[in-house]
Amino acid sequence: MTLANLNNLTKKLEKELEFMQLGDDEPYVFIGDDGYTKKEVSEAIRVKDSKVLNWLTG
Amino acid sequence: MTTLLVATRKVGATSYTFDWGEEIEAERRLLDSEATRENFDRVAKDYDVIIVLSHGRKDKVWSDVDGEALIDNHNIKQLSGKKLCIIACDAGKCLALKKGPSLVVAFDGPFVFMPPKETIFRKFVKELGNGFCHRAVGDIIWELMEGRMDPYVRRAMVHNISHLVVIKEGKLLTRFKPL
Repeated sequence: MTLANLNNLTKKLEKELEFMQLGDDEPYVFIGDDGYTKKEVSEAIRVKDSKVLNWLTG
Repeated sequence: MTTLLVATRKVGATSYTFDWGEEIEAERRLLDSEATRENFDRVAKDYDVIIVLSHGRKDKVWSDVDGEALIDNHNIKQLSGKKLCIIACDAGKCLALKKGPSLVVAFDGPFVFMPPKETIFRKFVKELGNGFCHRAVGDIIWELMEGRMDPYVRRAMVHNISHLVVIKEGKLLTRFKPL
């Protein structure tokens, strides 16, 4: 996965999260036992959390 | 064939997966506060098929009701010859599960799902729990090929299927690797 592809995916995901209109405390995804809210997914992408990136990039 | 279903529930992942267990057929259910090690050891021996929706690790399948292991090295012998389906993270890596049961369906990595789009994950788990392992995977692969699946659901499902393993008599029988 190139950085350009990752950035593209990230933008799509941000739009998707906006579209879902989730509350701040509602999880968007559970990766294992850890739930990530909209804000936490964005933050995980920003800091390149490998758990989230592995899911995001398949 | 008689089936026991064990489903734990707490804040977090199991608050969703607990409800998915409603669609899995079973003669006996240990749910929520009943899903303890003590109860599991008491009743598991009486059933041919055991389905667990909970948490897994390399050394155990555990309950978030009492924090105790439901399945580990100490009680694996009583599951000898039984068929198990474990909907939890990493249970496919659990060494104990390679020592007793005749067949184990489990994930050897994190199980990923998205609550806002839980329908497809729920159906996947229902098919697995009801013993239709290949149909569960086949339906997802069909959806993938049709290109109808949301890209993030697709990624989560490809991840799940890639970690789905069938272990027979302690040996890896099948690993599903789509695409």
